[in-house]
Amino acid sequence: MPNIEEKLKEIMALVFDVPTTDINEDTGPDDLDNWDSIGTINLITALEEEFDIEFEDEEILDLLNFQLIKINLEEKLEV
Amino acid sequence: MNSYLELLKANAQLKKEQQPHTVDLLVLNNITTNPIKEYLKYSCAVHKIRAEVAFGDYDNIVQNAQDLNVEHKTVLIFWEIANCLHGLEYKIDTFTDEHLDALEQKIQHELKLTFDALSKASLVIMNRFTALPFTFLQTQNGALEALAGRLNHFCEQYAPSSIKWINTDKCMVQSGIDKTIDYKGYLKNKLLYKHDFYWNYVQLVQPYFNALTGQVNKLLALDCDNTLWKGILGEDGDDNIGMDENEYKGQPFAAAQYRAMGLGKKGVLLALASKNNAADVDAVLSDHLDLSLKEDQLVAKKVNWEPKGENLKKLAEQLNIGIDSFVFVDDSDFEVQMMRDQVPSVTTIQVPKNAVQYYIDQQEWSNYFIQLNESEEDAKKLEQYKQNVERANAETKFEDFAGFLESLDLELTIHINDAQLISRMAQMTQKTNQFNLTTQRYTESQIEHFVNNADYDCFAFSVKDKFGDSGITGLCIIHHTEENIASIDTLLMSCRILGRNIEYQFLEEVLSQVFKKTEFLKAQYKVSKKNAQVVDFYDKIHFELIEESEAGKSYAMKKPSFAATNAYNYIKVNYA
Repeated sequence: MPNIEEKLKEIMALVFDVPTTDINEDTGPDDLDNWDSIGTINLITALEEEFDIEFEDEEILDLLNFQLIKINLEEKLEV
Repeated sequence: MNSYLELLKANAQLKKEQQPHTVDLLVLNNITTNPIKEYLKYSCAVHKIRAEVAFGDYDNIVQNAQDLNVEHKTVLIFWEIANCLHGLEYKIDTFTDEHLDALEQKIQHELKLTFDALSKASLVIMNRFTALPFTFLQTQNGALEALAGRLNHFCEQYAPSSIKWINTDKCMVQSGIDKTIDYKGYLKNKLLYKHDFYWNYVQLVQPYFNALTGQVNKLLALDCDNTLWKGILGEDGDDNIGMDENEYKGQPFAAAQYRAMGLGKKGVLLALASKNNAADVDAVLSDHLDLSLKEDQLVAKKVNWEPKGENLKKLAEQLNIGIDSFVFVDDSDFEVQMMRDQVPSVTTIQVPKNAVQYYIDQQEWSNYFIQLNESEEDAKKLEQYKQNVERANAETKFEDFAGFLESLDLELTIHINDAQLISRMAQMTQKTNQFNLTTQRYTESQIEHFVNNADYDCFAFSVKDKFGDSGITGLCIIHHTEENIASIDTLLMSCRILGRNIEYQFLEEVLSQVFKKTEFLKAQYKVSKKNAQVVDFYDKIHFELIEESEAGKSYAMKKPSFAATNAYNYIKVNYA
């Protein structure tokens, strides 16, 4: 799935209300004002909707930046 | 709008548009409701309102109500009964009576504190307590439902009447529990609601935001064929059009007539907008046995072959009300599209092809006319508008206008700081657009503050003439800002009473009262989209122009330069 990265970027930009250019591989909660605990919940809701997947609680704890979310998504969608 | 993500995308687009109105929202909750932000923003943007949305802390309603600045804010409260105590929904049936009693007292106490603390808010919208998500499979009512019922009863008794109550069961019923309640989210993050719940909720509350920003509709214009009755009068003939409520075919149309009459009773003006031969429609109005909506309930009939948009524009002029306060109902795609295209400020309702659906959709009609405070004045309006038409006819009999005015036996009655008029005064600030110098919108609690505060004086008036009584139709709020300095905070009048020099006589009276207390009076004209007709009002009555900009004009008047002109002696003045 080549466009996971693009889609994820787009969704994060929408959820956190920033331009896509503000998001890179290392972007994490410390970099974006709106990425707090509620922001994480909103992001999970949006990702679950878009990719028709479900995250477990333990996984959510690991979603610490763009790169880690991307890897998690790729694993989920390939299985 | 099918998903949260879609909503985010739509909002990203809408964010770029400038909105003429703003509402400042504060959401207080005892469960997690943060996703609602995007729904509120979207729904408001669609109604030309920019919504600023802030949240109180999780499960901290009482404290937040006391500590946060709620002035000029609209407060939405999500007080979920099941989360008044962790796990209450499954624990409550194990409680002893004493335990339950103590819990109920605690919640009541918190409710009272919250109501008191929120008295300064512009508007408070709160959900009725409901146990539905936790009991809908249960045959007999349990303790949670009983508690919800008692708390609702408590609120009915002790909550200020200005709080608007939302029954969230309606949000669940519309889309079903599966699509509205997120049990997994609730157990994980106290996130109880799903997409459809928020969507349905904002549809229910949006009319209040519209009213708060002065977007109040006043007139319902109804098409006739396949809207007021089934069938086409010109083709089927008056024997074959259907509106008999005892027949399946006719009942949805009889219902439409009654729905319209119900709105008429609340003060909404009803008019016909139909492409038909006027004589044919008149014959139905006077003779058709199944007709419920009678001619005397209509303020006007625009039955002809002209474009409906032009007809409504003319009607708006004749009644002297804004065309953006018109709601137009028609079954024809063409007419509805044409109206949207030609006169986009008119709100349109398309009658669905399926008559049963039409019958269901009619529930929504009243949403277009919701006001923040309804008053007795509203119900009298139809008579007054009809009197306007009579007056217009009488006017033609007199050669000179002054002679005509004298013949009217005009009487102006002024009420100063009258607490009984608080609701009506607030309503006027919210609804009056054209003759309104500053367009300040106030809620009842704000007006109440003015009435009871020595720094403010509220002058309201009613006008009577030999054709009838206008009711309370004008308001001037004076703010005594410093010793010997005052300013006109608000000056507005209903357009229904203009054209008889009432405005000049009223202001002359107000000024003579004000200058008993002060030496220097400031006034302002603030430009709005609709108040161009009063751009030079203060010039006309000899205020001194101090400053002029795109946003408006500032004026002042010193006590020595004020002199009553006594030019309008044919208007008798009383003080209530």
